[in-house]
Amino acid sequence: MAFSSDHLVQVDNIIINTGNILSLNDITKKSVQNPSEELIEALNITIKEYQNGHTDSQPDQPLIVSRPNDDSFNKISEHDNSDLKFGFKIFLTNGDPALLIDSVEKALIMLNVTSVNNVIIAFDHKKSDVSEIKSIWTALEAYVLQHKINKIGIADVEEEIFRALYDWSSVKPSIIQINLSTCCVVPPTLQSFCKDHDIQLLTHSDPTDILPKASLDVVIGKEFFLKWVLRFLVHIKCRGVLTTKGYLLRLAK
Amino acid sequence: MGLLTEGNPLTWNETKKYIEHVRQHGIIQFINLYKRVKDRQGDVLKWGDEVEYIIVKFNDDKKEAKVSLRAKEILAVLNEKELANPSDCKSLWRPEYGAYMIEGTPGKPYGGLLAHFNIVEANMKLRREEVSQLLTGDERIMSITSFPRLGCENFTDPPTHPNPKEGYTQSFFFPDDAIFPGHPRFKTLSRNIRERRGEKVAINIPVFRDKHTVRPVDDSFRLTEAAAPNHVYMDAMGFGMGCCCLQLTFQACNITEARTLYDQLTPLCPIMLAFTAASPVHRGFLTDVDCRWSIIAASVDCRTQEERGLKPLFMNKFVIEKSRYDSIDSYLSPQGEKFNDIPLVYDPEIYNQLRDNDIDHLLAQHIAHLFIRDTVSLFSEKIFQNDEEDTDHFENIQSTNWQTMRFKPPPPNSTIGWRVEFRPCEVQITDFENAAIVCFVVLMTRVILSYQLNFLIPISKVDENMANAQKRDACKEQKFWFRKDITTQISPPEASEVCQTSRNDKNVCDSYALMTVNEIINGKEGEFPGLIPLINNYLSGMDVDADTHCTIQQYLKFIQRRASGELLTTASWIRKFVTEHPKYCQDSIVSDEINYDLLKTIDEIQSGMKKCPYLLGPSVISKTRENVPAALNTDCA
Repeated sequence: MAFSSDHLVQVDNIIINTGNILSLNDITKKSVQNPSEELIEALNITIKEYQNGHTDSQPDQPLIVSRPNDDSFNKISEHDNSDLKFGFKIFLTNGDPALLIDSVEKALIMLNVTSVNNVIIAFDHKKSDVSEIKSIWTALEAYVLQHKINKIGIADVEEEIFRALYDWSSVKPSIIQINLSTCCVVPPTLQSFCKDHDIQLLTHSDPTDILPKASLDVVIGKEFFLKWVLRFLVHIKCRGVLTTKGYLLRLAK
Repeated sequence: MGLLTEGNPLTWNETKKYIEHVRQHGIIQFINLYKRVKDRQGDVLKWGDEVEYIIVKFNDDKKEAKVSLRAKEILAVLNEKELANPSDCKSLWRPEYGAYMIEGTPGKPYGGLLAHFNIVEANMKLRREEVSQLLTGDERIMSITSFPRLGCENFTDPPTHPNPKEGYTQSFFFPDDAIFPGHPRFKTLSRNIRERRGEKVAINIPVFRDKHTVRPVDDSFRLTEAAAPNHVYMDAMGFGMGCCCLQLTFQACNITEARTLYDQLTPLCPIMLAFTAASPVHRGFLTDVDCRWSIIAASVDCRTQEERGLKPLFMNKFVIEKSRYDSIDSYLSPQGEKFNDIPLVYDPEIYNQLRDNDIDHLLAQHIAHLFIRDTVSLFSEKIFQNDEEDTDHFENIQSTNWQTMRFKPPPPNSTIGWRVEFRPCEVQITDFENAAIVCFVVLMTRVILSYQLNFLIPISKVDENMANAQKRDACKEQKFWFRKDITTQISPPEASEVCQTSRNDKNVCDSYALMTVNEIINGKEGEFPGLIPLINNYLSGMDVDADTHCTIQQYLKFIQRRASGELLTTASWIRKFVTEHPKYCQDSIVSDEINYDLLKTIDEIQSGMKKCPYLLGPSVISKTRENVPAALNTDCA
């Protein structure tokens, strides 16, 4: 299911918005257990729907690929924003804060909100030192200071790096996300560190590389590279109901 | 069941005079209540479980186990604690039908955080401990669905004796003294149901035919014509209402969501009944059913012969298909309407009265259908009421319609919203199992709402499933009608398919098919995603703390294993225990000694002293804890 290639000749930059995938029957029916597969499935559906009803792209602008039938706007506007909890998880491909800023800004515009409750960042390879996170974290802190993000957190870092981040940062991480496969064997030291500092120790089931290049090649074409993936989740507060879930991502040549 | 109001019960002859009074005022009370609460919005998720227990007394020297009739005594102490500290108790305790039963619920409802799933089991353990402290050394509190030798000679401690000639029950087997004596409701119900029916209730359950099973199984057929041959005959409300179950109630955000959940959970009732099957032994016999359901239904069947269609209608108004304890007869949501394919009996005058008061067709027929039943318990203090404020007459009928699901309007002058009660499950031996089942069902409600799933099938098919669910080893052997395409979103450009449903098995658009419990829970490649994969997918989009997710994973893995047949249902395990017992004579009889050993073993499994991989699998250790961690509590204050 590739993009028709003539379409992409003059395009250098693509932003894909899957919209609310909870409304995609094919995804629900398969109940895909791996977020990578889910993302690829959602991308294929999005591209297909987009091609069925797209308009021509503007030169020098990123091509925005979305689904004409996306219902996320309706889903969100069914509720008062104060009853909803917005969360992002951003999968970054490098430590450049510009990528983070780009993803947050695009997602805020796309969801038509001025702030979100939490943002968790994840990197596609293990960090060996806190210094590799610092510039990204500083960008996140700026969002917290501007009240655009309420809580910030990070996924899949070693306990030492997390502690170092905590000590170094001016806006402390409120969330650490660990892989679901380790949720029954969390080191007691990390448990107590989180407890002592009111940090939420949450689970995820995401692979380190959420969109492997090989899969991307099949979906879009070899000439494009992933910049970032942002998963947005909208919950109804205190009701345990997920109302919108989707992915936003940027690709470049 | 809430705290019962005390009072003076009327005799059946007195009650009869007020049947129409209760009905009329009950309807007016519902209409008034409905007007006040129909637009209520924005309630958060709150939910709670109810576990019923039997107090068992062991005599190790004689190798006997009996039900201990001390519930009243024990409850008095438990309720004292509640009264002394009403705002801060961890558990609430209520009487149940048997003088040997108690019902425990969490002190406060659980809330809308996923972290609440991690405190359910801890609270269940705490409840068990709380009662255990009040027991004598030879007593145990046990969450068993049926006491295997209920109604056998000398099954109570202290000993009591049935009196078939007089009293409330007039059973050959079940003494009035085994009915909870602390509140008149239970005995009154027993008597009034019997008197309304015009004869004793008759419960006939096919015996499990083993190699040396003697038929007829006993002398019951000599005592009464009501005893069917080759069946275990029981003749008292206590055989049904003296069983324990596991129920849960959750609050919906408004009436629309409550209707949706009521309907969507209905097709899950038989599946969960088969899954939780836990009661194969009754009155000392191994039977051919695994569940309590049909037994309770028959045990409170107050229908007269006319109403049961055995005689032409003369004194009564309707022929009624089911007992007042049975599966629901109609869906309540607009999506459910086209699947309402069984005839619904109701009084058109009551229906019209409800319609005239702006109550929609579906709710009006539901309420009118509930109100075909007469009151079977009325207290002199409660006859005359203020219909603007009180709802006792409405509740009188509503709460004696014991169905698989219950649709509950907000109580007057309270902060509680519209609620739905899920009532089919049998109670399991361990807190781990009960917590797993409770969490599974509540998670399903969240999945249904998040993905807007549709499980609806014709309600006649749900009834067919209910019958199959109770058969021996149904969880493994039976197939159930279940919806294949559970998505509801219209996926353009394809138009949504409109399903024609019919009463025969051929379905025009093939929206449902026969599936095993395993296929429903774990999925079937290419055909059905499976309830557990759906839950896992939902959880991947939720903020779940590590401990809670670890616990939920243990629960879901357990449910997957039991659904797949890798683990036995409680009923199958009990069968296995009995039939493999060295003293079992392949005659379907569960002797005092087998009963003793079975209950001893259950107690050891429950307390963790004995591992039981057949029943529970390799691990039953969760990360359950008493309280929600502070860091998570801020999200949903």
